[in-house]
Amino acid sequence: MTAPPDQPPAAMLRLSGDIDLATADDVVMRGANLLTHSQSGVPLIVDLGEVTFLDSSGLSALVRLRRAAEAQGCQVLLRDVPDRVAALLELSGLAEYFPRAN
Amino acid sequence: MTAGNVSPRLANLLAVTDAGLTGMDIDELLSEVLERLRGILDADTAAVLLHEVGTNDLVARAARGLEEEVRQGVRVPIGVGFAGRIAANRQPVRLRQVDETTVSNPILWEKGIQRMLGVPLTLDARLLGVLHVGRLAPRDFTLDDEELLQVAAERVAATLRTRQYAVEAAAAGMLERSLLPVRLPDVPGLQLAARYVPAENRAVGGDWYDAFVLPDGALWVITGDVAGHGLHAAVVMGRVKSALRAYALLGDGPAHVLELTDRKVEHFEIGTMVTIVCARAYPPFADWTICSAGHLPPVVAALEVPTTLVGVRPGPPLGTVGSALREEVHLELPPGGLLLLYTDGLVERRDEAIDAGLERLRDAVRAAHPEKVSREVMQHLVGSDTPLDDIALLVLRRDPAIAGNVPTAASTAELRVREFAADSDSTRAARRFALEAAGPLPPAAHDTLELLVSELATNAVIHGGTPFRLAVARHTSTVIVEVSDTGTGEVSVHDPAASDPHGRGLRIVARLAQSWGVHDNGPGLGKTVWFRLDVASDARSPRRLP
Repeated sequence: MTAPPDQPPAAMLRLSGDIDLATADDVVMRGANLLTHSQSGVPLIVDLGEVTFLDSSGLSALVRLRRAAEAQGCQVLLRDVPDRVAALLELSGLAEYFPRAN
Repeated sequence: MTAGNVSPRLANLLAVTDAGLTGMDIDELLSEVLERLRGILDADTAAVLLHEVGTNDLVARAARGLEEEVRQGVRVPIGVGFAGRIAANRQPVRLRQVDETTVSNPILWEKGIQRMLGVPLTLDARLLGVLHVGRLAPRDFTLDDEELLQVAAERVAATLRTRQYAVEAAAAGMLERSLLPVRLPDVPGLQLAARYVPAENRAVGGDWYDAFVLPDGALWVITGDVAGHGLHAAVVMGRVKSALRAYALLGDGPAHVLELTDRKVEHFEIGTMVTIVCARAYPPFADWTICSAGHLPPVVAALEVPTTLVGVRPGPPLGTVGSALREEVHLELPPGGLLLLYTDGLVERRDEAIDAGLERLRDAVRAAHPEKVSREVMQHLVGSDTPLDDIALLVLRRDPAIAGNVPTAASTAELRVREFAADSDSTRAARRFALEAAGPLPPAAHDTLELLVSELATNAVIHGGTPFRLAVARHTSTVIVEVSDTGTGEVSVHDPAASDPHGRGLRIVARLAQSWGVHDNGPGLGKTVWFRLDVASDARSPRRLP
């Protein structure tokens, strides 16, 4: 971690399972909930380590999360991105839009 | 005549025709009406003859007490005899003398009928047929009887028309759907795309494209144009298309197949003119044999060379000169090379020479993915114009990467189909079903298949809004997936900005599938979105090559 010790810890959203049409809205809601309780400027870290599947609905959720975060002056960082999700981000031109937390 | 002065005897009859609107088929309905008319009018026979569309004849359709009329298929020319005169003059006729001088149908006087009364069945001044009753006893039909029969005829005509419209519309719809182009075959080593646009918002026309693989591995691609428009041209087209397939199955080349088809058209489709171009090749689809019967030349494009028209000298159109010796040309198609077949509606414009259209077509074609080329060609040559003529377009490209590494035997496929509800949990169920149906796959193919199925299922749930059908066919080295829904949502690939949360699904399919497409299943039948994915573990993806 490069953050100075006096800063509050980043908000962490741990995702698991399939992120698709059935679960995407829930992801956004959980993220938005975290954001309302965190301070401006503190990044929201989305941990994808346990994600088993993610499609364009999942990408949509991540984009919506980032926009919600931006509105509060926060950054969204991805952590533990599985290979196939990384490939999809790359394919969709979103790799640079979502910086990594590691 | 209004409901107020309908006599009690008529009420009985009208009840039948009203009920008939919902339940019975036409023949049951007519039978029932005739039976009741016999009772009401104290008649021994009752019959309906209908005008046969496209002829000048009345044909017996239903009869009571006179069933042989129908069984023998009695035909009466309009204008001749009792029924013929009623039809010709659209006037009721009462006969007090029934013999060969007044009635042309011998069944009637041989039966001993003494008195007859007939009225025309018309609707909006259109003749539908004739309704008549007869008595074996020499008791005259009265003016009251005549008026009553006329009221009955009005009701029968209206009912008949409603039922007939329904039947004709259903038959025409079914016929049209059977004539619409089928899905393009899955051909390893090639990508195919097609477009079909009938003129003036009709569902079908005389143009067609066809692509099929024969048991020996030969791929045939064809476009053709039956002179004329509408359903008739479409029906002839269906027969010519089927004849071409049958003759191709004999194993001969394009020239011979066109010669045989020409003979069939000459003999069985008199007065028909058809132009066709067909091309055949065996895997790996490098050497094409092409023959044209009066059709515009295909376009060939390859990387780093100018796009040209194929130099095939067109022989006479089918159905024009009897037998003709037809000339074939051979075309070498390099890996990545593209061949485009089309019909004249694509290049012909009312106010310009055809050369200008051909020039524009040549400018629009390049050796890119056939879907892309089809889109660009339609954009450049048709744009927002309402086409004056049918347009059929068929585009194929040799795969740039796996050319030369193609299985030569037709592979067997297993097809699995399941329907899913239009709710968000269905995307996961659809993924599981597709993976199970596809069977064992290399890891990368497994992941891609799961992703692409999810995208199509998601689109079906969001945009279709109706239950969707997922079909999965596993071939040796490819998987074909189709998702069909009855929704009317448009299918298009978007290029969203990074900050746009939507519009990525189909783009992912277009990027990862070897080929994909959308098939409009006809009015009210929704659409099918499909893709093909190469799944052989050693398959080299063209996209990873420099």
